[in-house]
Amino acid sequence: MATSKIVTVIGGGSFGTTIAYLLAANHDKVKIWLRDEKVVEAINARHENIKYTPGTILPSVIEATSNLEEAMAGSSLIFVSIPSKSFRSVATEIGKYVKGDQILVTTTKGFEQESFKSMSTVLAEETSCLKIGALSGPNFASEILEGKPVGSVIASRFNEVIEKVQEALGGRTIRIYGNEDVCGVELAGALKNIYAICAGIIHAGGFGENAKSLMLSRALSEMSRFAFHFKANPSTFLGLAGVGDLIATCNSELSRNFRIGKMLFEGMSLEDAMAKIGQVVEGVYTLKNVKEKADMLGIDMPIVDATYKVVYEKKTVEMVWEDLMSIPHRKDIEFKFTSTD
Amino acid sequence: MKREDKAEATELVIEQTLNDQKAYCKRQNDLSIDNIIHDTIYLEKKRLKNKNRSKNVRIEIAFWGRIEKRFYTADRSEKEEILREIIRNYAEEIAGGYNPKIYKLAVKIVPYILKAILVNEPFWKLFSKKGKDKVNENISILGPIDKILRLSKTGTLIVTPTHQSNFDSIVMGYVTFMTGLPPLVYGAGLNLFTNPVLSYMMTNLGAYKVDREKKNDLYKDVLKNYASVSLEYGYHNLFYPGGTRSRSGKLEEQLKLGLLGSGLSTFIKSAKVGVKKNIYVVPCTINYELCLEARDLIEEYLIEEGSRQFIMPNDSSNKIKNILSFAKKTVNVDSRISVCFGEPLDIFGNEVNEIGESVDAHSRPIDINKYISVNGVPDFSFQRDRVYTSILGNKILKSFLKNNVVMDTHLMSYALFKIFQKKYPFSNVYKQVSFFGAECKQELLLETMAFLKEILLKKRDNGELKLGNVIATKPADIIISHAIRQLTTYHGEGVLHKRNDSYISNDLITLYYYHNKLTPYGLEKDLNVWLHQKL
Repeated sequence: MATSKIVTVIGGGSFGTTIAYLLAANHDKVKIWLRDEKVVEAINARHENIKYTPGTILPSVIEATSNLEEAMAGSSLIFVSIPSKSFRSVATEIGKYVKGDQILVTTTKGFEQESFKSMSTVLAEETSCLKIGALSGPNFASEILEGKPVGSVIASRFNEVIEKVQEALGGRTIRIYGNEDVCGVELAGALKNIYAICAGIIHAGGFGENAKSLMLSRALSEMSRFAFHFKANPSTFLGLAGVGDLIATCNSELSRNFRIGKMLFEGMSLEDAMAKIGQVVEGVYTLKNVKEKADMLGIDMPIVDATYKVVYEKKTVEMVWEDLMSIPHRKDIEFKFTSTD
Repeated sequence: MKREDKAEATELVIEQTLNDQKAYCKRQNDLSIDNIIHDTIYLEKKRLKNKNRSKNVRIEIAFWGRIEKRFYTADRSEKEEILREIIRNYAEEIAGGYNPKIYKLAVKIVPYILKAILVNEPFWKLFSKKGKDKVNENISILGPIDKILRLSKTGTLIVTPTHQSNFDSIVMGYVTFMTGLPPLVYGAGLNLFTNPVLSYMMTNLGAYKVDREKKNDLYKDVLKNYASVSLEYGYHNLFYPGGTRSRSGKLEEQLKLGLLGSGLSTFIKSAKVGVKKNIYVVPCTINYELCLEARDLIEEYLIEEGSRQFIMPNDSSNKIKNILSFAKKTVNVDSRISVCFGEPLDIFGNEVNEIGESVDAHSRPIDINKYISVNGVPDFSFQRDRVYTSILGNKILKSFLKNNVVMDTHLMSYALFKIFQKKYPFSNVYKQVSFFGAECKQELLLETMAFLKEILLKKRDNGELKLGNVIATKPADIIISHAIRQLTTYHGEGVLHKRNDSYISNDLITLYYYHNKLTPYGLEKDLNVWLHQKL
């Protein structure tokens, strides 16, 4: 389904490039903004993002630019794929060029470190746009680029945003589901990265599949408790952005968070592990944010605590595992749905 | 609404409501208007069933009897006529009048009457300097008044105050007159129209009738459209977005979106005919050291929310006698009232600058017409517009938080209630408030107040809230003695009395009410750690 509309992707990392790749199937022109002039040149001349998705030939309708104003001119739908650390500064720049009627969609899974604000909140604060959405779900860039089937969730309070994103991204290999619960989808997308780190540790430590299942199911309870405090809908965690993303991220070497968990178990320092991966590992920042927030609000999150001890306090896995296993026995289903729970 | 506008405006309200109902039916998979008429008749008959048979009630019963009889034999086109007749009945009941001559007269006289009520002085004394000073001391008006006044000249205002007390309307009336704000159209409870003199004044000063017993959606839609049409005619509006008075003493946490959406409806309707209508939303908080009906409200809240049974007292705060008695008591203890206006917003929740342009967080102008564009032209979109109104609601709530004026009675009640919670732990707040004879050492209260005051001063400096004069300028011991004097004079010594070097409370319910004013600011964690060391 080709439309004549122009769409824009802000951010030329692996996921931004992948979104542009998907959009290319349904649009005449996809503009992608990134800072690195070499990559801009490579995309325009050789149709390849040499830095983040080398080897994948991008459709010719994708045009790269390092000029933000140019990237956004004439575009009514803009995807923002910028790491959480620099998200606000880029969002402020975006705010200069939007008129209020564009749709902005964040694809970043994380929180702003100082404020613990979600990326959609940052977009709302820094721009005049009101129609904002968040895209999440089990979406490994490499699999999408290989044309393997995938599902995503677009969350927005505006039906129009959901419909436009479904129309823009939907295709033969991708299904896009809608959800009104923006907060829940963004929380799920960010929180699962923490458990992916933990899963990487469990995997490398040879604790076995039973242990991983135990961690994943208890992770859902933790996530629902956390979500409850932010008035998110805990049912969202049972969908693609929650359970769906947990299954994918916690079982795959394709996940940077999973890989960093493995490296940490194998004795590598956090700095070295991050340097080796070479791309942003959102879960590392999210872990710190969530740990601080949970402590402040008094939310019981033992798996987050344990992972934090390994990642930031250099505690041994054996030590924290023993702590986890000595927690008093609890009920199987502790999924928090309502205030009367 | 002026007499010359009234008839035409009523017709507009009827047409708009009919269109809304038809659009609603369409959205609900072509629901028949039968359902709307049927539900309305059912709910109205239910409402009237147990009412005393006054003349007005007998007229209403007869009306609904006729409607019901016609409804069961009507064909499709007649049913639409029946719906129109019901809507007309509501619209004509709601419509208020506005007489500029009476308003001008009122502008001269009413401030003095209101002052007389508020400071409990014979109103001829208020012409004196002493009288004026007393009012100024007791009622403070904060916020960007000049900016709001300027905007009222280039656009239409919707003033949206917090709602704690029946005293609010008197206070807002006073503030409107004293600041020079233009007359505000506002919905007033039907009970205020029963006295013929009061009814005449209310009607001619711009009030329209709101019958809170009518719960059906059709009536609410007519109300919303009345507000919307009055905005179209350029009348400035006031409504309480929380709907009813806060039962708990907490700031509003959720707003009713129906009336709030009237600004957006008017904006879109005007844009569709090529007119740019400037509508500004002005949130404001009304803050009392003492609340007229604190005890009644908190008991209602506890009954609604809690599992325990409370004896429900009659809410007698409507009676003029009680308002006067309250005024007398509060004035005797120099009780303060503070009205704090927030920054004006547009109907999408963006702030507006000095010249009335909508701006983003970086003061960059926004063309808000872009928000309502559907395929390049301005139009309604039900789901989109509901979300816009909800965004506006959230911005109003944020403004309430920032402009909430914390006073000595709130701070002391908060400190005491938290000390008692720590000292006498119960499984829930409903059991907690029933505790009798709670005791707190004088020294501990003093230290706790000083501890909390430091945190509040920081929050004030960060723009998170406002502080009343006593808290901001006096040491903890003065704050305590002032707060105790306030609370005990009005609520009795049960709230707090001194025994040796301790304070005793037999009325945690009242303390809980005032304490609730401070609950949204996340003080609990730090305070608990601090109290843990002290207790």
